[in-house]
Order: sequence, then structure tokens, then C-alpha cells
Amino acid sequence: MRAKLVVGTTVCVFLSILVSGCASTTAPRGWLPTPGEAEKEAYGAWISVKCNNGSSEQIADGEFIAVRKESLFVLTQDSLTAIALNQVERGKLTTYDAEHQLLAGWTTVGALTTPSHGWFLVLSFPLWIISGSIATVAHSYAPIEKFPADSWEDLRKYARFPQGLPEGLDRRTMKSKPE
Amino acid sequence: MAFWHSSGRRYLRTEIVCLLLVLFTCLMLLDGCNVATQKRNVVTPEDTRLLDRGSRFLKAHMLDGQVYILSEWNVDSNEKIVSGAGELLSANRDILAEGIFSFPLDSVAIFETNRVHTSGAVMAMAVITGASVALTMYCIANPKACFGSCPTFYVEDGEKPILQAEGFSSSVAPSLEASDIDALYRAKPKRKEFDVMMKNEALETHVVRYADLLAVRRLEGGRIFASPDGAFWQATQIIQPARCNGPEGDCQKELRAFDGLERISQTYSTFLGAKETIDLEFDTLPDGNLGLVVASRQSLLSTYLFYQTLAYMGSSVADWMAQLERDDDLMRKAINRFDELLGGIEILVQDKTGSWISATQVCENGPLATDVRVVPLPNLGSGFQKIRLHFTKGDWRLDWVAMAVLEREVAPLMLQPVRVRHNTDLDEIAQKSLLDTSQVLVTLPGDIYTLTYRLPDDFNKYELFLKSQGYYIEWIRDEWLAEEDPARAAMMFLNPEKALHVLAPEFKRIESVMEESFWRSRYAR
Repeated sequence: MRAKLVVGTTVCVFLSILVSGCASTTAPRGWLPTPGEAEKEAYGAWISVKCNNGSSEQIADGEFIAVRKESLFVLTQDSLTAIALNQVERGKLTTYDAEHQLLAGWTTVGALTTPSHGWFLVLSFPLWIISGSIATVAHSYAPIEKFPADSWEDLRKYARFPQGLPEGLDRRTMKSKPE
Repeated sequence: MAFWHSSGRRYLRTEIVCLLLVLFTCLMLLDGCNVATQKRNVVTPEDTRLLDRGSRFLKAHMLDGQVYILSEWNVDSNEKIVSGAGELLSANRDILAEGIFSFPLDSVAIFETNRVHTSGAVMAMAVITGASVALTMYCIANPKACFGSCPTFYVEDGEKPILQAEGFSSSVAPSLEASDIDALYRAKPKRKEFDVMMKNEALETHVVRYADLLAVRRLEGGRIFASPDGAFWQATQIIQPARCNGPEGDCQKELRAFDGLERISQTYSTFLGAKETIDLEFDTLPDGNLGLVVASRQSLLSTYLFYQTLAYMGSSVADWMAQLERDDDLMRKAINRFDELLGGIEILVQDKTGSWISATQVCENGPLATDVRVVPLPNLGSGFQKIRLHFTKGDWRLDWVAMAVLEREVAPLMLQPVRVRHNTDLDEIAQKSLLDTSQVLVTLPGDIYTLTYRLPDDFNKYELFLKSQGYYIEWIRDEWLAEEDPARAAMMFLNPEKALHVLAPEFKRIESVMEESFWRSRYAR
């Protein structure tokens, strides 16, 4: 009976942590590279920016291309968009796919082994669920950089062109990362 | 989880568990929350001394938006040249060229490096998986003496259950999964239904793919022995050596019978890989195929070395194990090198010219259950009488050595469990897992499974063996984490010879008490 109560409680805790806790992204499925792929790719991170020009609010999602003194450049589905830094309200960069669902799976598998513990289940099941959930949530935030940041210098390294927008680049011919 | 009261009594409180659950949840909600992660750095050409030289790839972003992605890269600040193998991509990341490149440092706008790490979350999960548990005073005093094993198998000897086998002792990771045949030499079935108790007595996760019973009908007065290559031999005459000499002198008393009286030696004080020999002489040997019967088990030396390696890895153990699982050549070579240095029990026979000829090695790993095996010997004609055993000093406990006349090779009956009980309850799911090799049975500390096999009607005429397959994962102990030392971990893999020298004094300090500590720290409910 006690084991069932503990299992039930911790499953609820697990679900609530996962539903409310894990980081989300607007990047299309499969767009973000894994950490290993990111070592060898040369695209920018996925950026989601909310900006306010005084009269209206806009959200721009796309690839982080570059940042200059007063503007940042986002390659959306349609085109290369320049956004004045002083109009950026908030946003976030997702630099790679954390694959945190693997950790969630690990947590689940680990927890499912605990029924073989008998009375020990009362301890090991919650240990798995709670610790695994926290680990999963923590890991999901690892690739996230939020802004406004103290300095755009810290974030430029995640751009396609960390050196800044190249002089002479034909912006009309910019291509998105193939899906 | 157990908590020590200030009075020293250990007690368990679910109230404390609930409080921890609440605490964990609050922490999660209050703190917005830190597989693999990636760390990126960018460096200007003027600051190449800050480049992360450990990064596998270097991205050289050019002034015009193109980028070189190079492996095996080098940035020579003196010659002001960047070189490496890889690709040149356009501003739109189309591949413009592939191959080996070399270009001036001042053509680069900025360098980028990336490092992939096992995430802290994964390491935490690895530590959970290898959960840390407070142990008895014996383990605190001798952390590497904490009981560890693969699955242990107990069978009735006619009176009581005795430990007869330990399965797949070397399979300490999924990629090292292996099968193992163990003789149940002292098993004495009393009825057709024969029980084998499989226990998880250590702080480990055992993953068992199958545990089958092999039954071989034996001749009246004879025995069946398994050889290292997995063959089964019908043996009739079994002959004791007339003389047995080791470094300590006469060793016949210890080796003349399989009676639990073992011949043991201590390791060499400055090098754990030092060897010793035992010479055996037989007065008269019959013609025919002969095989040397050896009943042996390892000492705790290998266990100590394995645990010490894990301790040196410490919180990075997940990184190391992941490398092994990725089929890392360096890791596997290192593991093989340790095996070569310590080795098994080499069997040598003296031919008519007086030269020693190596027959084979007995390498049955595991410090718990004595295994009995026969080594078929080369046919050197009549007259040969001398056998030499050559092995690492202090690494082996020998119980019995004898010569057997091998009549013929025989094939065993393979029997799968007809019933499985988990503790006292019937467990059909566990049985199904053991019958289907695409599934596994996972056991945790304290688990006891009773596997029941149905023997032939004349069950007492059969020699029994256990064939098992699987792997197991050690749980990292708190006490081991205190010894984390990446340099020493690297030494274990890159220079195992040196490791056997360096660790010799440390092992000698605990060698004499390790056995007692080890057995006292078995996990039991």
C-alpha cells in the first residue's frame, strides 16, 4: 500500500516537473544539430526575438546570422531581417538539440526497474524519478541563451557569421539551412 | 537510503523520504533549472594562444563569409599559417572544396572551436545509476574491499545451497556482454526439478540475457569437465600429482583434492604483475588423451584494480564508460593490455628434450566461485610427466590440480528454466525474459531469483553446468568518489605496467584484510 502511494505521488511529481520544467524551442523539428553535429556545422543558432518599435510588437524566428553595432540579423523563412538592438525586448537562442527526451526515457527506464526492489522501491523509485526529472529539466536548458544579455559579444559566437555580417555579402541570395 | 542516527543506530523513515520529495520539487520550481552538452569559444587571430587545442574541429571564419571546417588542424603563430584537413564552405554553407588546406593567419576573421561534454545532468544520472549508498564500516575502511560480483548462483550440494558459479565476471559494461559456462561440480540434485538460485549480492545492476542448465550424462565412476573452448569431455581416471613444488615449497596438501583448502600466494611488493610457477610431477600416466583439471578462482587483485580504476574516474565515469561503449580503440587496447599483463594460469608441459611447451591458459575470471575446468594437453607420447603452472603472483587461488584421462568429447542437453520465482513469488515475466534472447532480466541489489529446471528421469547420473550471458554495471560508491584523479585514471589506461608498480604498495596495505572485508560487505536484505 505504502509502495503504491509513493509510486503514485512521485509519478505526479515527475509529470508536473516535465510538463512545466523543460525548455521549449520554436525551431522546426530536426533543424537543431546535436552537440556532435554542431561541432562540424557552420549555421547559426535558432533565435526567437520579440521586439517592440514603439507602435507594434513583432516576433522574429529564424537563424541567427550576425550582430553588428546596432542591429542583429535573423534569416527567417522569407528573408534576411535586420532588427535594431534597442528595439529588442527579449528573446532566446537555442544553440543545439539537447535531446533531453533521452534523459526522460532514461529516467523512465530506471524507475521501471525499481518494482523488483520490493520494499526498497519506496526509496529507489522516488530517487530515480525526482533526480532524473531534475536532471532532464536541467539538461534541456543547457543549449539556451536568453537575452537581453549583458553584452551581445557573448552571443555573437552563436551566429552564422560570428565575425559580423561580411562586407559585400549579397543579402538577397542568403539561403536557409536545408531541412 | 539509510540514515545514521547520532546514537549510531540506522533507521529508515518514509517521513524523511517525503520531505526530500517536497524539497526536491521546491528546488526545481524555484531554480529555473543547468546525453551531451557543447561549449563554444571564439578567438581572434591575434589571440591564437587562447585557442582550445583540444577541440576536434577548428572553424576559421573568413572575411568574406566563407568558412574552413578543419580536423587535425594546426595554427602556427610563428609562421602565421593555418592548416588542416576538411572543407571550405561558402557563405550559404555550400561545399566549395574538400581536402588539405593551408592559408595565411591574417586572412581569418575569427576562429571558432566547440567542445562536446557529457552533460552534468547525464553525470548525475550516471551517479544515480551507479547510486551512492552509505555502507558498512568495513567498506569505509577499505573502499575497494566492498563486495562486488556478477550474478552469483547457488545450488544444493545434497544438504544446503552452496555458491557454485558466478556468471560473466568480466562483462562490466554493455559492450562487454559475454556468455560464460560454469561447472556446478558439487551439485547433487535430489529430484527431477532442480533449483538454481541467482542472486544479486552487490551494489550493481545485473542484466541477464539467459541462464541455461547444461546436463551431460556421465559414465559410472567418471566425471565430465568443460574445457576453456567450451567443449565437454568425458573423463574416467583422475590422477593426483606425486609432487607439487611452488616458491613456498611443497604444495601437494592444498592441491590434491577439491576440498576448499586453497593454495594462496601474496602479490609482489613492488609490482603487481610479477609471476610465479608451480611445478607438478606425475609418476605414471596412462596412454591416451590427457587433460589437466584445474579448480581455481581469482584473488581480489583484479577486483581491486577494477574498482580503483572506477574510483580514479570518479564523477567522470560516465564519460569513460561512454567511450568504451563507442568502441573506443584506446580503451579496448588498455583493457586487453591489463588482461595480458595479469593473464590467466598458463599450463606448460615438458617434452622429451626438457623444453617447456605452452598448452593454453585457464582464464576463468571471478573471485567468488571456484571453477573447475579441464585443459586438453598436447600428445607428447609416453613418458612426459611434468607440468608447470605459470601465473601472476597473488592473483589466483588454486584448490585442486589433477590429470584426467579424456575418453571422448560429449554434447550437453540444454535445459531452460521451466519456472522462475522472484523471492517467493512466481514471476512469469522474468521467465519469459530468460527464455527469449532478445529480452533481458534486470536485477538489482538484494534480488533473488530461483530458476527451476526439469532434469531427465535419471537425474543423478548427470554432470551439471550453468551457461549464462549478460553484463553488469557497478554502482559508484561515495567512498570511491573521494579518490577521483583523472591523471591516475589515464595512467590505468595508457600505462598499465606503471599502474601495477604504482599501486603495489597501496594494495599490499590492504591485501591481507581485503578478503574478510569483501565477504562481510555482501548486500543482503
